[in-house]
This record gives sequence, structure tokens and C-alpha cells, in this order.
Amino acid sequence: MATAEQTAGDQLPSPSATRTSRWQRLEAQLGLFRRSRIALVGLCLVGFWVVVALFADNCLVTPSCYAGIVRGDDITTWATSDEYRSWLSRYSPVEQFRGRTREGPSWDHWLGTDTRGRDIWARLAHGSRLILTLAPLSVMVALLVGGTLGLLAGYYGGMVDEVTMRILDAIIAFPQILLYLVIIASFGASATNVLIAITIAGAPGIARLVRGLTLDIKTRDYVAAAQTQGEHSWYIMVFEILPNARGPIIIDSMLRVGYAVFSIGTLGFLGLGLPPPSPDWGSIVQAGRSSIQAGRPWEALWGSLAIAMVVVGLNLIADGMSEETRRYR
Amino acid sequence: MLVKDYMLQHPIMIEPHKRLAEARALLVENEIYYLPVVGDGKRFLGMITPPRLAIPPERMASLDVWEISNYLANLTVEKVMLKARDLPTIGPNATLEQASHLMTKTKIGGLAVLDGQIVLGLITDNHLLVELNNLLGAFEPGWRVTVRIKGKRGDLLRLIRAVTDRGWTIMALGNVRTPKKPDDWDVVLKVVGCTREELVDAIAQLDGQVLRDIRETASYAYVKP
Amino acid sequence: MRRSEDIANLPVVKVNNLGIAYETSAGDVLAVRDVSFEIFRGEALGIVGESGCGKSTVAFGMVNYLGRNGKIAHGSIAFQGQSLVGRSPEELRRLRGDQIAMVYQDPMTSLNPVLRIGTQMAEVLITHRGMAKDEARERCVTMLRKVNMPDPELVLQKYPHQISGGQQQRVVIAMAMLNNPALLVMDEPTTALDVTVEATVLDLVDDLRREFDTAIMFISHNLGVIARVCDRVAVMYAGEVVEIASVQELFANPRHPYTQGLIRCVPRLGRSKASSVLYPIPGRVPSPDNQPAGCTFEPRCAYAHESCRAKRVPLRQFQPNHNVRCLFAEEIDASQWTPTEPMTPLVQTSRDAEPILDVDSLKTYYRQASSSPLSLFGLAKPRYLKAVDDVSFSLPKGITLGVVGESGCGKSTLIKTIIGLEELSGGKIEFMSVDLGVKVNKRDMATIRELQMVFQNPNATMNPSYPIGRQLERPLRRFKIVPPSEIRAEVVRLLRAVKLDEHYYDRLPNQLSGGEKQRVGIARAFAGRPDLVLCDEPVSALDVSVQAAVLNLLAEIQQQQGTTLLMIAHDLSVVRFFSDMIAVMYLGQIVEIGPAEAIYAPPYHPYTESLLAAVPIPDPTVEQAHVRLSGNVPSPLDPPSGCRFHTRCPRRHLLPDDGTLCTTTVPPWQDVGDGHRIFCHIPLDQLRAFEPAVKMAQE
Repeated sequence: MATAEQTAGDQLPSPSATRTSRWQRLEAQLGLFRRSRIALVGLCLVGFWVVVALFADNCLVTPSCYAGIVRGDDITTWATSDEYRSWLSRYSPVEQFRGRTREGPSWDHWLGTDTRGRDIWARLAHGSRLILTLAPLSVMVALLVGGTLGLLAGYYGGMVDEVTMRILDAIIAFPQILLYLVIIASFGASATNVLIAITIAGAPGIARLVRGLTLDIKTRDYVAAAQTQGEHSWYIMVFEILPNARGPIIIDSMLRVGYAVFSIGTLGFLGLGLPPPSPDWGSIVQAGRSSIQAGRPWEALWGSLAIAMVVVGLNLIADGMSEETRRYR
Repeated sequence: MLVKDYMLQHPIMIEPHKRLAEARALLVENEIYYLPVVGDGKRFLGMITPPRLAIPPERMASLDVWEISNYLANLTVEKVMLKARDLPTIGPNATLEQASHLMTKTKIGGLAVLDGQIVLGLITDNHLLVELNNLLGAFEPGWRVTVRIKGKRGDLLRLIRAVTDRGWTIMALGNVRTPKKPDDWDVVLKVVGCTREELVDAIAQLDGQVLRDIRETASYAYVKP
Repeated sequence: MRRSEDIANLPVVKVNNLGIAYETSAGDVLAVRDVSFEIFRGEALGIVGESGCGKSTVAFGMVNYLGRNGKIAHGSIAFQGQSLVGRSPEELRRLRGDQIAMVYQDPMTSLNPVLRIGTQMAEVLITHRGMAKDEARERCVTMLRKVNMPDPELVLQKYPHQISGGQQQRVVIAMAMLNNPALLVMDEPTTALDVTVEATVLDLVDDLRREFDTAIMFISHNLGVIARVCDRVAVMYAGEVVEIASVQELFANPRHPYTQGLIRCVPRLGRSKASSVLYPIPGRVPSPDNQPAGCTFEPRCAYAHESCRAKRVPLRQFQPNHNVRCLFAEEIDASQWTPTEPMTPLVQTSRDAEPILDVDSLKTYYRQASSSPLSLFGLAKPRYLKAVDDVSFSLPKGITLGVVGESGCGKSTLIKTIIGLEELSGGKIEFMSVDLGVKVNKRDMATIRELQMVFQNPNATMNPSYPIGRQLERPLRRFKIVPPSEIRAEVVRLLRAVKLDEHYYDRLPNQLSGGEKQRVGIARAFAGRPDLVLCDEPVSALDVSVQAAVLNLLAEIQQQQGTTLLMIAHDLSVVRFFSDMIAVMYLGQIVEIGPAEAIYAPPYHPYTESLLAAVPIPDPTVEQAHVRLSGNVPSPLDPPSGCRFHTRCPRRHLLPDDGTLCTTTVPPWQDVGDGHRIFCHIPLDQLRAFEPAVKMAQE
């Protein structure tokens, strides 16, 4: 019999502890922004608006007003309450300055004022809070719905797969804008309905992606190994397959958040977003549209720029991530 | 004995736009005499030989010193090569005799072996000489005898029988009209398996056949064909 | 003429002191250093070494195909007397088209999947050489004939995916030879092919080289393949050539410790674990950015000496035409070698134990989607792919059964059905008197626990998302092997059992080498102390030196726990070494089963004979019978009637009427005795009279 002390084939030369702490792993992930310049640019663009959203008012102290903004009610109190003024934006988004309508940038109003004499910067800043909550939230819900469907369809295959995917295909076949219009028009314009619309429009795409990844990962030996150990299907799906599909899903979600920002903007522009006077970016662009011909493009310009910054920023981060995964393949 | 079996496959070649200096380096460093010039897809365009490397003085007579160096530096292979249309070439399925005939007729000792326009190989006078050597069994040890026979029917057969019937082996055989005596034939045989005396004796018994020469060849240094 | 030109055979390629570097964020890393060799016309130079030794880098470097971050750092490559370094991409492209051809491991990298084979082959001739269409086509047919392609005209009409892998590789070789290149670079050309196909491709390479006088650079990790086709061999280690010599010399008298180690760690055909031991090379190939200062092999070398560490060792001449990069080449004699730690062969297990697994006329069919329009209405007759068709055997407790056969013979499906990953379509599997007729998710925990599996691909065997420890804990928890408080200790014990230490507990799989991952996979399979472990090609994806270590480990654990093993493999030497019994499968059926030593000598099934004749043996002195199978494996959708092997059988003519019996009647099981059975019509006496397929020079 071969002796137990025989030298093993190929051990690492130094078995020094390689226990990776949570902090190290996080650092490794953030290293992306050090290695990839485009991801860094993306992070700056998005990060700017995240900071603005956080400090748009003193809500960090009193989180209750988050709910107010997302729900879109309590508007009348906004103009007067001091809670809505912070070091970042000196005015409330609904405070009107009579006689100072459609002004260009000035010291008093950094980005100018709109047709009703409201400070554009204040409106954008508060709008960012709204859009940066709504867009990721809706993508998360879509991810939950689409991911579950995709995982089930991919793992079980056969009839489950056929039926689920055909239904989702039918939804994909609708033009997205049309889908939004139908949903919002029938349920009315509110934050919840915008969220529902984006979920319904986004879930089929996510389901497709997850299904594809599942089909691939399902054939790996470690899944077979889990099966031969008698693991339940749900365990295999959630703990064996899903963690290994996370890379592409995260990248896809980044892009989707970008699209969601864009969609919310579009809905706002079409008047189907949040009801006025909430500072929705899309509505800002829409309101400023009429002033462009009058030679005062500021309102529309700043609104579009804000949307563009967030969308481009998220895209750049996604690009950086996918480049990273390709490099390590 | 066809060209394709004896030619050099994959000869060193050069492209037409290369500088002449590169061609010179190839010829000198690899000690070769014929350098086929090929275009895209190994299409035969011409040949460089050492004499082509010498630039005729009259070509430079009108140039001043500075121009000469420039002229030489820019001289490319295609400007000095022998053009394909002026060169004899041969196909892979031709016989070695055809190749040697072509060489003696044109006085060019290296032929590109072409398949259509594509260079398959190169056959030179040297290959033929090596084959002549092999044909006469130069590298096989044994008795090399030259016998002069009359050009009559059956004479050669009698000679061969005289050797093979005694259980000796003929390693090589060459048969050529005697120089200056067109009616006679000189046969060169390489025989092994007997002593000199036995062989001389056996040939002496054949009437009308004269033993012209007999010598022993030891093993020569083997040369790859 | 005055001088002997041309006759002095000049090398087609002369590589001198070549170094290839990759640019990384941490600076340039030399992947290949100081490589020198030359290849002459009509000569095949083999380059052998483990993965990560820079073999392919050299090949790509020759044609400057190094990618964006690769570059030639130093040295020269002279092709036909002209330097290849510093050429423009355009010139290199033309050279690759005209005079240098490459053949890769995967034929599909060189074939365009959307063009017919005829179109892409002729394209080379038409666009490159201005040949007329008909003429080009004719040329392609001639070339396909030369590579022994059956039905060349028909093949030209097909798309690449319509022909088998072996045929694809032949098409690629034919395409490479169309331009009559002076140099052919072959990078693992047969690694993805079955042994029988590999043998025909190697024959072909040998023929072509003689006919076209092409210089061949043949890269392979397989010493057997190298021994069969090459004239000279260069052994590469960590980016350096450590030994270069003629094939005979290298195998008879290896002088570098690495070469000796490589030769020692592959099982010779005919050896078994009871009669010999495999000696793995300890350690692993150093990565290019972390090389030892002295001799690169010093950390793994049993002969290492103080002076080895001091400075780099140059390649020096040991004998004419035999160069070694070792300071002590004169003193190191392979025949004088003694293992640093004594290892004794394992005890042979008895085959008479009672059966643990009984498989009775097992069938696994896959339903095929029909392409007929009737299938839309559910009217088409269902077609079944008969992956396993009527397989019966019984496996005594504690032994190892090896299953061999070409890819597509159903060996993987067989073990997947036994473990319950596939549903069986007929027959019966009985495991310790428990019926295994259902898929794994319907079996009870006790059965699942006793039946485990080791997988083929080390990179997929562990879930990349979790640390090793967690993945080993899982079966312990599920099968309740030990109380929860002792789980960690048990995992560490398991890691120790597979010769890994405690530090591996927290490592992620991507921090492990292939061999280590495979060890962890073995540890996981043995965690529940199962009675039967199924191994699906456990070592085929590993380097030879690691392969030996893993095989030894598997044997040792088996011995300790008295586990029964069912191992499938395509490498006959490995199977012979490792198994007590062997089953040979062809097209879903077992054609021969018996004790391992009996399978390797006549009488055997004609199919076994051709497998044996095809195995590449790492010893150029061994003579093998020249038995080659023609044609492809028939489709299991519609297997041949009678004996399934009759379409390819080289011995069919031995029967009266050229074997019409074989085409009509299913052959009988002929019993040779000692559990050795052959599924063939040819009478045993005639089978016994076969020449042995492998003749060892000395034994």
C-alpha cells in the first residue's frame, strides 16, 4: 500500500493563510474602479447624483419625508417647511419666486428658474432623490419576478419552460412605450404604477437572461454533484446556480436601472409620470420644452442633462464590469 | 525516376520587392546558387543567381557617388532577377533525363519545378550528379566492373545471367554506348557476393565480352539524396 | 556546378535563444526563455511538457500570433534563412498562407461553420493562387483522398458540423497541406480525438511528412503520441527547453530529472497497480512571474543540490544530439533511480466477493425531437437515441471496474443512469438489494449516501462561489455523518486524507490548481463513506504528473475504506493500471468484460484489439499491430443490425461468407472462463490465435 506520507502532487508552495475577509472581498470588488477608467467616469457621474439625492434636504435626519416624496402627496407643506432646504439646495422645489420666471443661471438661482419661477436646481436635486429611488426599486422587483421565472424555466425545462417563455415572449413582443402607455393609462399616474409598468416591461428580458445562464450552469458538474447528494431542487437553484449567475445579472441590472431612469423620464415627459408638482425630471424637460423656442433653453437643457448623466454613468459602469469579466475569462 | 521524387521540396525563396542585399545574404549564408523569386501564393516570377548580383558598370556610369549608394540601396530583387519567361522550368512528372537535357540545352543548372505557376521545388545539376552517383551504386560496397559488349540482342542478358546464376547480387547497373565506338556498349555493374577472381573468371567465360576495368569500392560517406 | 549546394540539408526553421514576454500590469513577464531548436525538412520535432510550460506560446511566437500583449523579447527565428522577428503583419500573413500552416486542437477554430467544406477549401486555391474553380475543386478532392477521407466528393458538399471530429481534423490538415507548406505547426492536434481516430490521424501526419518533406513542429502533452510521430523531442519546463534529443535516445536514456519524472509517472500499458507504482512529481510548475533564481526545476527535483540554486543552468551538450539543462546530467541515471519515499504496490483485491451492484439488461434511451412536420400534431413515430442498450454486469464488492470505449459509446450515460441523473428506460439496477429504478431525487437518503460520484472536469467540480470547507461540510450535514460540533474537524480530516492541509478550508476553488480541485472533489465523494463511487474520467483533464498523484490517492482511499469503484476512462493504460476488471463498450453495449489482465492479451474482441493497437505508448521500442478502424461510429439512433461492430470490424472476413452472419444475427456471449466474456461470432480458438496487439520489447 502506498504510504500515507507520500508527497502530494501539486500543492501551493506557501499555504499561508488565505482566508479572505469581507472587507478584502469588498476591496477587490471596488478595485474595478481603480482598474477601469470608464467605470470610474461612470461612478463619478452617478455618484454625483447620489450625493445630491442624499443631501437634497435634511431628510437624512427625518426619513419620513422620503415617503412623502415617493407618494407624491403633502405637496402644500413643501413650500413652507424648512426641512426641504439644505446646504445643497437653498430652496424648496415648489417655492415660487414671483416675477423671476425663466431666468438663466445666476448666483441666486444656480441653474435658473422655470416658467413658474421655481428654482431649477432645487427641483432637479429633489427629483434625483425620487428617480434614484424609483428606478433601482422597480428593477429590483423586476429582477425578483423575472429571475424566479427564468430560474424555474431554465432548471425544470420541458413544459414549464415552454409555457413560461411563450407568455413572456408575448410581453416582449409589445413595444415598451406602448406597454407603459397602456398600463399607466388604465391604472393612473402614480409612483406605484410606474413601478409596476417598469416591472412588467423588464421582467421578461431578465427571465430570458436568467434562463440562459441557468441552462448553462445546470450542466456543470457541481450541480450534478449536488443532485447526487440528494439536494432539493430549490436548494440547487438558489444556492448552487444563482450565485454563479450573479456576474451577468449585476451587469444587466446596471443597464436596466439606466433604462428605467430613461423610461421614468419618458413617462414624465409624456405626462404619465408622477403627478405635478412633484419634481420629476421628465416633467421638467416637458415643461421647459415650450421655452426653448423663446430662447430660454435652460429648463429643458438641465433636465435632459441630468437624465443623460445618470443613464450614461450606469452604462459606463456596466461596460467596465463586463470588460472586467472578459479579462478574467 | 521522376523529378518530383528527386527535387528539393520547399527551397529557400524570396519575394520580388525585397532588397537585393537580402537576396545576396540568403545566397551567401545558405551556400546556395539558385534563389527562386515568388509572388503571392508561391507563384514563380523569376530567379536570382550569383551573377545577377553583380551590377553592370554601365548601369551606374551616369550616376554620381551619392546617387550610386542610393541606387544600390533601393535596388530590389525584381529589377535584377532573371524573368520567369526567359527561364526554363519543368513539371513534377517529367523524367530526370528531361531535366538534364533542359539544363544542358539552356546552360542553366537550376530548374524551378512548377505546378502551373506554383513553385513546388527546385532541381539542380547537383541533384542529377548525386543521382548518377546513386545510379551507379557509388555508395554501395562491392566490385565495380566495366564490361564492353557488342550491341547484339541478348548480350546484356548473358552478362547478367553469368552473375546472377552464380547467386551473386547486382547492386547497380549502368549501360551506355561506348564513347567513339557507337556499335559497342559499356556496361557498369556493381556486384557483391563473390571474390575478385571468381568475378573475373566468370566474365572471361563470356565470349565477345571484354572486361575493361574492375575495382573495389569501399563504403563512401553516405550522402542523402 | 562547383559545389554541393542544397544537398547540405539546411534547417527549415532555426530558433535561437528565443524569449517571449507578455505585458502585464506588473511589467513584462517572460513566458518562454532561451529556447533554441531547429527543424529540418521532413523532420518532426515534438515539444512535450505539462500545461503552463510555454509549448503553445512557442508555437504562436513562431508566427507572431501572440495577441496584443505578447511580444518577442529576445532571440531570433529564422525561417528558410530569413528572420521572422520584426516582419510586418502583412508579410507574416502571406507567409502563413504560403509556407507555414497551423493545425490546432479544436478543428472548428480553423473551419468556418457557415461555409461548405468545398467552398472554404477551394477558396484558398482560387483567391490565393488564381486557380480556376474546377481545377481547385479537383485539387481539393485529391488532397482529401491523401488524408484518407472516405467519399471526398460528398464531404466537399457538407458543412463542417455534419462530419465527425476526426474528419474535421482531417479536413483541417488537408487544408493546411493544400499550399504545400514548408513548416506545419501542430498544437495538440489529436488531444480532442478518440484513440482509434487519433491513431489514423497520426499515421496520416507521418505519411504526409514523408511525401511532402514538410518540417513539422508537433506539440503534445502526451508522451505516447510524441513517441509515435516524432524524430526528435524537446522537453519544455517552465518556459525553457530542459532536454532535447532523438526519440529513441530520450526514452531510453533520459537525463533531465523532469524528463525522467514525466516518463515515470505515466502508467505503461500492461502494468497494473498490483505490479507497479506511479511516481508523481511533487510540487507544481512555477508561474512565469515567480521563477526560482537557479534551476527552474530545482524546487521539485529529488537530486537538487546547493549549486542548483545559485544561478540559472544553461542548456549544454550531454552527447552529440542530446542536450540537457542540468548540472548533474552525467550522474543522473534513470535506471539507478530510487523513490525518495518507499512506495509499494497495492494488494490485488479478490474478485470473488459478493456483488454489490447488479445491472441487468439496462437500457437508457433519449427521445429525439423529430424534424418531420407530423411531429407538430404528435403523429410522428418517436425516435430514440439508444445511448445504453442492454447492458448487464455485476460488480463484486471492493473491486474496481474500468469501463472503456470511444466517445459516444454510452459509458457516461451508463454511470449517470446508475447514479440517477438520467432516467432508465428498461432493465434493472440493483444496489445492495435496493432497486435503483428511479432518479436520484426520488431515492432515499441512505441509498444516496452509499452511492457517490467523482467528476471529470476539475474546474466545474466545485462551486466557484463557496469556500472549499463549506462545500465539504454540506454532505456531512446532509448525511449526518458526524455530530454538528465535529463537522469542522471532520472536514479537516477529509482534507488531510486527500493530502491537503487545513488552510484549504477557507480557500475558494479558483485559488486551487486542477489537481487540488480534483482532490477536493474526491474528498467530497468519499465524505459520506459510500460503498460505491462512480468516477467519470477522474484524471483525464489533469497533467500527467498530477494524474499519477490523484490515481495513487484514489487507490489508497479505496483500500482504506474498502470502497467499490466504477471508473470510466478513455485512456487504456490508466484503466489497465487501475482496474481489477474491465468492460469494453461499443455503441451502447458491452462487447467484452473480464479481468483486467485478460482483456489485454488474446483472446479478445476485435474492437478491443483495435483499441489496443491504437493506444499511443510512451516507448518507441514497443511494436503495435497495425489495426485501424475505418469509418465512423454509426449513429446510436439507428444502430447496425446483428453485431453492432460489423460495419467497422477488421476481423469480419475470418468468418465464412465474409461475415454475413454478423450483419444478421446478434452475436453470442462466449465464455473464456474466470468471468471473461466476449460478445462475438468468431470462435474462441480463432480469437486466441490473434497476434498480440502490443509487443513489449523487454518485459
